[in-house]
Amino acid sequence: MSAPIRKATLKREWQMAWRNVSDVINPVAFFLIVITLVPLGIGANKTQLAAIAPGMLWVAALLACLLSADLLFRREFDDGTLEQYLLLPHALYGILWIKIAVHWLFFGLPLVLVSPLLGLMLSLPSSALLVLMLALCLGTMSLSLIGAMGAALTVGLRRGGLLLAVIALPLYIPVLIFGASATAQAADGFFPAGQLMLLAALVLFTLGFAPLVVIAGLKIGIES
Amino acid sequence: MTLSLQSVACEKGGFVLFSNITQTLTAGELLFVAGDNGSGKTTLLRILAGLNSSYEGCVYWSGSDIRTVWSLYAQSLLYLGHQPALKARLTARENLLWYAQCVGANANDVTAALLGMGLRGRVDLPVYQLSAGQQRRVVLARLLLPAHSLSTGHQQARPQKLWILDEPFTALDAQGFAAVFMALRMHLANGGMAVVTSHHGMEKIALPHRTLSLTEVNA
Repeated sequence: MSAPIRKATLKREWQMAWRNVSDVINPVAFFLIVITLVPLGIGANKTQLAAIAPGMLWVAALLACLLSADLLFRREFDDGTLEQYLLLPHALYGILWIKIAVHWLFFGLPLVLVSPLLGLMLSLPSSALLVLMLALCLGTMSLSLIGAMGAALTVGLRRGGLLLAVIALPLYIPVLIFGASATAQAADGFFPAGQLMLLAALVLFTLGFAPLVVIAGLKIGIES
Repeated sequence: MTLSLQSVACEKGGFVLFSNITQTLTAGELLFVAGDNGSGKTTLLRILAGLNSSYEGCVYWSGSDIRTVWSLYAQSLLYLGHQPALKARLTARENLLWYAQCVGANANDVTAALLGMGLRGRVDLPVYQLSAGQQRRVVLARLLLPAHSLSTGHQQARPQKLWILDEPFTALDAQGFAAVFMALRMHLANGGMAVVTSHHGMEKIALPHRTLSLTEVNA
């Protein structure tokens, strides 16, 4: 019975993302800028750059996600839309799921798409680029879901930015470790099956409970 | 179908906003919540809308606590709060269409509702380009949407039996006021219920109603 609501929500989120595209694309721009600055700061020594490339790419992706997460429910909270969402209990789960998915489409997906270019800038071997994309694709999904949890838990606070970082960063760390490790291993010429599977497992794990945490967090935020 | 409040009390920041509110609202009735600024009108309405659960006492919907029949209760509810819940970058039509689809109304209903609120020629403008009063009209156009039951798919009596309207007449001119007034009268005539706040008196609104004065409750 909530299928028409889901469809309408998807269309609306899509429209809003396009109308606010300059805001939405901000985290990706941040990612681009950080990675572009690295060779300028470190120097164009190829072996040095290749050594730090996996870690650099992942740290930048993680911070870009943190930057984008705060916006996920902030406007909804400020303009009162969140209250209206909570008054649709039978559709709430679907609405939040769609919001997070659209967030990923406008944050995670562009990041995945520009990553090979940035990998090349950091002298990452071209054989590792496909693995980088795959790992980032899985990793950013987890990051989006974890970010949504943090954003929901801090939405009722006037200045929740720092608290969001404190809540979300420890949960980001497994993604960082396995993602960077997968990329480094691919750069050494091996296929990092184990790390990729663990990243996929993290996606499934967060997918399972993130929406429930998000709903609980938003309810607390609305009631405070 | 009744809404009843049983000794509802709420405190905020250590002092009691209101206490011992007992009221029953049945089909076709209008409850007008009066009170000074800060007397707890909005808090009471948020309690009734299930958006605030830190209160004492009970709110019953047809005899069951709203917290236990929340899903059912929420579907019978139309809550318009202080905040507009509009998306500034979307047009009036796009904003309303989402709410329409949530209650099973269609695109024609949206156009009719917006025109009914006197928004001719403004329907396809982004909401941020509208004046405060016009934005208010877009919000209130939700009252003009015919609601169909999503579960059965065909039109039936409006499932949103209970309207909870927080200051609906703020920023409205005479024409907007008349449109909302008509919608409210129709709703009550069709057996709906409404809880309305306003810091203006109800003299202007010539509808039979009961007044709950929060200022007196506190005195």
